[in-house]
Amino acid sequence: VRGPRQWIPFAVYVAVTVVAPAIRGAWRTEGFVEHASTVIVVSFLATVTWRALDGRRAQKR
Amino acid sequence: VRVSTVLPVAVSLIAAYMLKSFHSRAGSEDLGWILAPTAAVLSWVTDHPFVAEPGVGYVSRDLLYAVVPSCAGVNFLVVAFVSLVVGLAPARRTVAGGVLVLPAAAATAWITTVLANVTRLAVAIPLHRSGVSLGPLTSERIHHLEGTIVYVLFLTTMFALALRGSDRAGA
Repeated sequence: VRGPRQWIPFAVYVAVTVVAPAIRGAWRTEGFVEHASTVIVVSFLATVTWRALDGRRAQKR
Repeated sequence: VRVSTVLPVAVSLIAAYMLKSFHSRAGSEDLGWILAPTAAVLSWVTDHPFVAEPGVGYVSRDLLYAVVPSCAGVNFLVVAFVSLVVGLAPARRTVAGGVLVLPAAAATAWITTVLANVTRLAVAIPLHRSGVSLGPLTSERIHHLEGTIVYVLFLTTMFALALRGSDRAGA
């Protein structure tokens, strides 16, 4: 499973919930930066954790 | 670049755009296909009935909580569907195989969205009722953070299981 494919959910999630609304002007609204930061940090950490767990599992094999 | 990859990915992006566009105009009745199963499972999980209220959504009078269109998880559904198609289509060797990824991804994304919605709401309801806040983490911020964590965990787990299943089937 390991590889660039593991970044697909992160990329799509950020694209749909941060980049697309920002392009439509949501970046001007109050709370958008906080929303964007939360989404990016949480999804980045989840992906990094998944990659780490997957790497450890692969090493055991 | 193969047709078996490009075609399903292009269709998924068009479907995602149409769904997002529909969601921006949809009321609670239009979103019954996702709100109704979410409310039904949530009623079972919380042991409190969520009843359809026209123009509002699904309301629990016991819990003083409503499942409204913004709780439908349509953004999550779009993300889950597109992620699955983009992740799984490149492994398909034929156009038919690539196209078959679409209904499989749609069904998987829909089921995962309902489960993620229920989990998010089942955790959010007691948080909302307790009115918990921790310094700069207001109850509103905690609600947003909780929702993001639940969605990301469901998305990552769904995608990991789907890739593993696809890789095993192709091995």
